Amino acid sequence: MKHLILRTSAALACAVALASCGGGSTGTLQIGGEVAGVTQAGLVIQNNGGSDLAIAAGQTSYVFKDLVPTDSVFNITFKSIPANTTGCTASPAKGNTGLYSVSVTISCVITPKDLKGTVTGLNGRTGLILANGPNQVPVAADGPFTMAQVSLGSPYGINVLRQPDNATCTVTNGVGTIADNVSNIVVTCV
Amino acid sequence: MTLFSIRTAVALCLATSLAACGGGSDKATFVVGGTIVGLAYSGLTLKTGDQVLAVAPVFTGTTPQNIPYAFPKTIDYGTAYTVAVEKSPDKQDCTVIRFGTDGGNRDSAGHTATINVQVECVTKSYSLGGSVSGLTGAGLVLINGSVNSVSVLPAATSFTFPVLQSNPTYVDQAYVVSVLTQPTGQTCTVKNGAGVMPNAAMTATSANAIAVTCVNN
Repeated sequence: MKHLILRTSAALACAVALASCGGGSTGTLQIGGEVAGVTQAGLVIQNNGGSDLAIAAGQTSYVFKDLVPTDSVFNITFKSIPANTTGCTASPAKGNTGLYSVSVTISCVITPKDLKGTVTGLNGRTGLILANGPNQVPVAADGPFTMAQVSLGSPYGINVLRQPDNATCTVTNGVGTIADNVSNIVVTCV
Repeated sequence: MTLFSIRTAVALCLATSLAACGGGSDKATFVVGGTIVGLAYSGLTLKTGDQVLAVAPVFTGTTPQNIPYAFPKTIDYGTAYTVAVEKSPDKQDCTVIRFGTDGGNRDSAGHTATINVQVECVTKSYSLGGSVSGLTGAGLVLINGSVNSVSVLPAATSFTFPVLQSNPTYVDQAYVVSVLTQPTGQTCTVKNGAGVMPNAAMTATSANAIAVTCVNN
């Protein structure tokens, strides 16, 4: 008799746990959306602290397997983020499902790194413009220069867009892939 | 007598029609205008009815500002109007953002409290490419700064960067084409690698064309 009660309550507890865990088995709505800025493994997201959903490198969209009921609360959280990002956001991160499937955009910001160097030999000559693709940086005098920051893992290719008056400048170490802050670009003008 | 009364009637009639025409005292008048977004070059003219309006860009630093515009002559309550781009700047495409109850870019004055027709200008963008010679090895990768890259196959005689929706090469934007990865057994150099996008695609036959030349190591 005592055994039976124990068994029953265990079964009940199990059923309750399953219902709260699965949650979605009774639902009809999907939660998913676009993914941006994921270039490495390591992103794992959850809805309401439920099962893990890992987003692979280069993935551009996702869908949670578990369907959720209408008019229920959703709350997207990040269990882990890729090592090359400064952070990830879900938009909207929280809300109510209402009547329709929910679209939540996940975007991660890849860590930006410095791109710097030194100019020598200008000796007062003006007009030098350096560029990394569309990013133009006029350089007024000898010394350090700073290009716009570049995301970790992206390439860079710096060259002279405009030579200064009465001198020719060449770039050393102008091409590479960002693995860390870069400060060894040398521009020599003669 | 008959003649006199006809004259009077005509004069009366004229006075009445003039008043209606001027829209004088009893009719509300409306300024046809709105806002222009993204205008970065001169040469834009807008048209409504018989009025043409030239609008010049306004910058804060190098960023184009939103520009309010207004045609000089007002129109009466109930007058149908349209606004159209008569001419875009050479380096931009300007369009009227759809308006009006049927989305047909026409409405009547008074349908909304004020007339506010948006015009959007987008700077033209083109593909970026050039010539390749002497390439026999595999693995050549060219980049345009940090925004774009292209792999070039052996025996190719030209290259073109993919057109990126998120990062197009706009007219007057700088480009710097460099070799990120040299092909196996060869060294490639880039001539005319740095420049500014013209109002056309950069190809192997453009002026100051980008030329990649590869030689065996």
